[in-house]
Amino acid sequence: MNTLAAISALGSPTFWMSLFMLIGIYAAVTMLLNVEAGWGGMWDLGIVGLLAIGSYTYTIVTNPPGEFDVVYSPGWPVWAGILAAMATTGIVAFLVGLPALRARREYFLIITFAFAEVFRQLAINVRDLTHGTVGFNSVARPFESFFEKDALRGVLLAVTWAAALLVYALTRRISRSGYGRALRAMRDNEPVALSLGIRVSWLRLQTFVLVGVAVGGVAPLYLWWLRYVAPSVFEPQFTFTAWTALVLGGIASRSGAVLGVGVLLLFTELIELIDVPGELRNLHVAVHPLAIGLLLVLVLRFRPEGLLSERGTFGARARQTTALDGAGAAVASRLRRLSPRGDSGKEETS
Amino acid sequence: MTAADGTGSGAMLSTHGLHKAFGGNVAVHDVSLDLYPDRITALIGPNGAGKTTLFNIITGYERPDSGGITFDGHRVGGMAPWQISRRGVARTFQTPVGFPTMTLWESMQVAGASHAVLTGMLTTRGRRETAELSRRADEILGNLGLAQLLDTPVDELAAGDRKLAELARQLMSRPRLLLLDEPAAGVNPGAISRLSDLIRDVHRSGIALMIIDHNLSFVLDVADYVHVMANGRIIAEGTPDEIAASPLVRQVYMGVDA
Ligand SMILES: Nc1ncnc2c1ncn2[C@@H]1O[C@H](COP(=O)(O)OP(=O)(O)OP(=O)(O)O)[C@@H](O)[C@H]1O
Ligand SMILES: [Mg+2]
Repeated sequence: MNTLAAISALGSPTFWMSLFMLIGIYAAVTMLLNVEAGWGGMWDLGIVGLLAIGSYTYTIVTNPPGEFDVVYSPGWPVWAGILAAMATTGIVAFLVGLPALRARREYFLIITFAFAEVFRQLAINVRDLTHGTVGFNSVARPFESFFEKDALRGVLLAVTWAAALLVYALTRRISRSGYGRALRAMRDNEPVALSLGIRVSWLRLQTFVLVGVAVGGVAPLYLWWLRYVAPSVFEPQFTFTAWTALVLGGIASRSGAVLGVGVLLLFTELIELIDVPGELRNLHVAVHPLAIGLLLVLVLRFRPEGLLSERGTFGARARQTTALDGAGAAVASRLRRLSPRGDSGKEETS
Repeated sequence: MTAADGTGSGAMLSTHGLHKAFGGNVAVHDVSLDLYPDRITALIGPNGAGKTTLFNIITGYERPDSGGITFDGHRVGGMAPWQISRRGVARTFQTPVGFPTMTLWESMQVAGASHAVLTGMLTTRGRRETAELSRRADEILGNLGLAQLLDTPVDELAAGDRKLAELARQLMSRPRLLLLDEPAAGVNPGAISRLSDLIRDVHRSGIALMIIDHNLSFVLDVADYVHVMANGRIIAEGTPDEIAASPLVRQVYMGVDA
């Protein structure tokens, strides 16, 4: 009976749709966390705070005027809401980062954690703006007038994955850039990084703001799927899940964040699916974090760097040119040979 | 000839009355010295003499309690290490740790690239810059005989190679002045004369040099001018021959270190 229920849930498109939506969102956030924490060595334990800032900004500015009893409801369009979310989150990241990034790594961790919690308390208490613990039970979504309900979910899933892909492309660009190397250099050895002209404190702040802006952009996607905003959404659990996925997948590896999120969420959602009789419900809930811990211990026991590793991303391969570079070089040399003013031509004249 | 007599004309780097104490422990005491680009300068002295602290002050890692530093006629005292580096002063560290997660080749790419978020990621500039950096890295590694190690993770290098890797990496930032903190430490004795040659090559390529080392025969061989430091003060200076003959130096330096 129970197994049957689980299997039927497994077959339901809603389950998979939800799971993939969640994977897309967590993957985007975790990849950004990796830029900051994995490469930059900034142990941010408050990334959910940035997500919260973006979420509240987006919702407040896009809510239809008059629908909720709050003081500010300009009713902006969705695109403006996204931009506002990114801008606000970036500004808050700047303001939080300015003092917090001066602190040592361990303190940065505590400060960011505290920041996220303080913001959540603000969201609860500044009722005139945030609607308190209740929050907002509807969220403006794009394309609502073009698609009916089921199709819209598919479209939003596609948009979310496109955004995750964009974040991946961004991290890929970073990993191959002077900026990315400077980040890892600063994390590995700050004095040496400084001696190479890297302005460490500025780099940290820039990175924190970059991550803030990007997380602000991801926030609306999360809301389109959730369809409500409340302080409870932004509990530390979100940050812990992203961190667990990052460590599982391999901190500082580029694809590890994605793999870690995939494995972790599939694992937890499947546990969730197991249908247990009423008297065992409490046990089931208690087993959940235990199972995640067990998964983490198992992976780290056999692969201490996580499923993928930094060396896998940056090792000897980093030197190899990509296929595209190779093709470009081949074309260039072909052209040079064809051209009458090529090297051979010069030799004849001299 | 004393340290204070030159007004610094022709000197690339001058320090004026530098003073630094850690609590009650005076590490650098009224140090004034001039460094000329056309000769290799050495700084020797027993353990705890204040040599590394002096390097740290010059490169901005420690703030002096008093005194000033000019580089190229500009006051650089009080600047941050990255600012001083960008002005053309590079240094190595006594304990070469480097960037343990990177391969040698990767760690060579850190210097000289655009580091800021936006400039560091912009396409065209990034591509051209990468090609240029690779070329220079290959050249430097070739010169130092490290070419075959370029894919080796930095933390797997042998101690001597790590010293060279440190030197190679700092050369990537195109310094005009290079401060080497104990480059011969950990290098096996057979390779020391080769190290001297490499250092002379670096100097010949137009980079001013100042070297701290405990290996006296190496220092007296490679340097053109030597400052001797003890208890935070410059107690003697002169050509290697003068230093080798000085009874004071023999007493203070050898007495403590040997
Ligand atoms: N950051 C610091 N805090 C406290 N004391 C320090 C610090 N750095 C150096 N010192 C002290 O300053 C003095 C000079 O140290 P320094 O490292 O400059 O000597 P050194 O000449 O480089 O010696 P060595 O040959 O052993 O490297 C020593 O007594 C040392 O203990
Ligand atoms: Mg020292």
